[in-house]
Amino acid sequence: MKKEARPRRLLVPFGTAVALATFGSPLLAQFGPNRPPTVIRGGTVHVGNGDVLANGTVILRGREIEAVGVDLPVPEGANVVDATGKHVYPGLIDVESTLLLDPESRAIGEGSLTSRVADALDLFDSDAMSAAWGGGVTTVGVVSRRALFDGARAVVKLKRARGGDVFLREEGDFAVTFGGNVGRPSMRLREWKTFGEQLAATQKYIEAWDEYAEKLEEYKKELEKSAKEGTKLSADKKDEAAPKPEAPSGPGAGGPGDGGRRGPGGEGRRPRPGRVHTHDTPFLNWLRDTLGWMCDCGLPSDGGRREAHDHHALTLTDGVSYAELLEEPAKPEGGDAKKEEPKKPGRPNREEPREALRKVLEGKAGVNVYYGGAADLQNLLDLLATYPLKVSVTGGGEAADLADQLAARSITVVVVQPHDLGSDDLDAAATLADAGVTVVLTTAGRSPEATRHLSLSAAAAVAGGLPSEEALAAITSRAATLLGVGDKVGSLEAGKHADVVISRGELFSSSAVIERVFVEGASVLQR
Amino acid sequence: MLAIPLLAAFAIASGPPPAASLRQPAPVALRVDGVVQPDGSLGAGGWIVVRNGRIESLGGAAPPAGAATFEFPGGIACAGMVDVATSLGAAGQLAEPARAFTPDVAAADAFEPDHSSFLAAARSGVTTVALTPSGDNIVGGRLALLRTRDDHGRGAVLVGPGPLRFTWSDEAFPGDRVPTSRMGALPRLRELLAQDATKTAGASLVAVQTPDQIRTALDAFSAAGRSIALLQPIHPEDALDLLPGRAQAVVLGAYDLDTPERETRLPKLLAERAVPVAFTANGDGAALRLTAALAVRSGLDPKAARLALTAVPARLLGADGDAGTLEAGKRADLVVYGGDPLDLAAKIHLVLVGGAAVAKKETP
Repeated sequence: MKKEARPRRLLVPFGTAVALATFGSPLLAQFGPNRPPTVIRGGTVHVGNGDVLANGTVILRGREIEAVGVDLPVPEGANVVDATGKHVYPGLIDVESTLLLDPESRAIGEGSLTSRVADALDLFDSDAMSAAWGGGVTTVGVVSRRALFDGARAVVKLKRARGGDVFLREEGDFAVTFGGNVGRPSMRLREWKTFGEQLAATQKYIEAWDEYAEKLEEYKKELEKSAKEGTKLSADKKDEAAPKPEAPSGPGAGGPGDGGRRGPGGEGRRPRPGRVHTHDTPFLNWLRDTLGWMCDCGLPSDGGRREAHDHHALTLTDGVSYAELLEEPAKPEGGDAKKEEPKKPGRPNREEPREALRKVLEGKAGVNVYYGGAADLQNLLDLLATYPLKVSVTGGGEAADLADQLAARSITVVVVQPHDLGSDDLDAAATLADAGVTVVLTTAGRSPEATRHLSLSAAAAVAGGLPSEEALAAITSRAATLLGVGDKVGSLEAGKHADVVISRGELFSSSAVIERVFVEGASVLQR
Repeated sequence: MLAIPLLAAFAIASGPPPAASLRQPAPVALRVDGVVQPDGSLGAGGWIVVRNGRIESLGGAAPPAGAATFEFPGGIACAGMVDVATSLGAAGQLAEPARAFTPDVAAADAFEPDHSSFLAAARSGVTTVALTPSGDNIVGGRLALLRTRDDHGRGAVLVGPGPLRFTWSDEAFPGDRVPTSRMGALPRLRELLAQDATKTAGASLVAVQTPDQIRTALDAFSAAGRSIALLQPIHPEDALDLLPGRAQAVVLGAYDLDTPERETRLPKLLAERAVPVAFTANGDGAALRLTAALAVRSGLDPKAARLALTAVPARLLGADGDAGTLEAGKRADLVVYGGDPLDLAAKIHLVLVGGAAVAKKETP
């Protein structure tokens, strides 16, 4: 998106110059930042938060909604759109779409914790955008579900990318997918094991860093003290020795990953290096095969990383348990440090996959878990007892069985609406909502085509018993909250983005025709 | 079998008519707020009177004396849905693939009345289906017309030897039997079409894919004076202008949310050329309605969409005397929806097949 910022800066002055030179102010007034306000009046205004205003007025100014109400005065010079007999909605939000995601990124490749869906989007796919506008959709959350971990969700405003900043959030919550993997065999047991191990390893990683920060602080103090007193402090040369409280001597000196493998600080830590030195080639081959097998069997590529340096050494850089089988003397660090000076603590290696999960464990980023059934949900609830993650779940099937627990933990359920009206799960959304669970509806289409049918998809939830204004909230305001952009989009309220849909016929009727769509105040569809 | 407890459950769970009462000679009257007309439009409601499994009258201002009455505020009555290409109730394979031409094969011979798929179909609003030979053979055999519920709660054959199913797409030319090409197949096909024995009520159902297959099929059948319905053509765009006046209808579906708009626009393009469309979804009413809804969202006129679920497929099967529209004298195959049948948000309140109510889901 930074890339696009530049052309925009260039274009606007140029456009302004042309406008001033050739047409004077009218063009500027029409398209520039000072375009006159748009007033949509006479329609039934569905605010998106459950409120409905008969004969309401919506005033758009610039990129935002200026006012929403009944009998509002029309500002001077405003473009008036008569919506009499029509329905006015906030732009719809499909929280789980594959719109704009390039087809190859949809289908193949391995997921990773550090990937960002935002990097795989074609923001210039105007056909896809037009199709979505045709369905009244103006914001999408784009998620990739190729593997257990497939990076962070992107939240995209569907507007012409020409110089526009289309991301509402470049890095949304993390997608974690159980049993729903595309193009890769999946096994529940293994997936849960990996998820748990990754969280545990990240927890240790965080602890190692916390410990490092602590030691560093201590070291600085010691340094000051020794500078003041001029006394010599003994430093332990032996790397495998535990740090002595009176002489901090490189707690993390063991090198990459050591901190991660250790227990939390304080419990008489013994270095357990992750390197093996051997010239026994058959053993090495066996080891490599075994580890390779373990990796192929589901240790994520970013987790059980193995590096065969040569035929003599093999370094394991991760904290999973099998590494503990291997012994190697820790890499000496700061070995030349003079005996008389306090030893600087070794800095743990920064690992990006761990950093990604760290945000999750520290509550800075949410996790969205795609689950296959009630058993997965139960596993998740159990896991939450240990790790208080900010979590939402996507699926919907069988969630009703655990509705009370989900409600108690305020876990939003993104219901992938069965489009099979005969399905036994048709009432899933209604049942969850009745139990007090926050419900969001999505197409979760495997193809980008699905997103334009978001309202039809929600209509099926209405058939399942969800009241229609609830269903609307589930694809507008609640969807926005789930995506973390509830302050910007999702309802027709003053100060929010001017994303507005005018429909002939109610949105959930098949014969509804989306007649006009405004995105950030600009008319993008008219028919 | 299950029918009796189910019917009892229906009576307890959902208020509307106990099935038993609908089968008695005394008339049953249903009050609805709208009725889908024979032209597909939404018309005014009123009382629908059902007697002896048939529709006696529609749109009356008051129920007849002595009738059991049931009211559906906001309800819209529509003919039960009809699906021309299903494998509902099939016991085993619906083909004899050793030979390419099997005009004597009858799908009715592979019919299993107690198949559970009938109940699901009936509940979803589908009242008449054709059990259709599969696409392995150039001439696959005769369809069997079925109603999804009989008086004993089972599927039942209405017409055994129905229209013929042909396959003109690559599926029927596996290469390991003769004929291996369409050119090679045409003489035998023409010969068969010339025989009276292959004449049936309704249209011959012909599976085609490409424009070139559409053209040769239309030529062969119109030369023999046969009425033809094209089954699930994949790329008919380039052949659209060949169809008016020559194809009785085109059978399309099922669509889902992932179906590209290029496909969901076909019904609209066909309707614009006055070529009727019928939808098929293997007897799944919900999928049929979704297909219709998607076609409407892609521009199909709602009237044509309603007919594509009911009257058009009934006509293709030669069953339009009894099914496909709500008219006095026809079999009482009807569904009361909570709104327009095309609106997915409209629930099904009642399904009658031949005047008998279909039980809703079992209550646990």
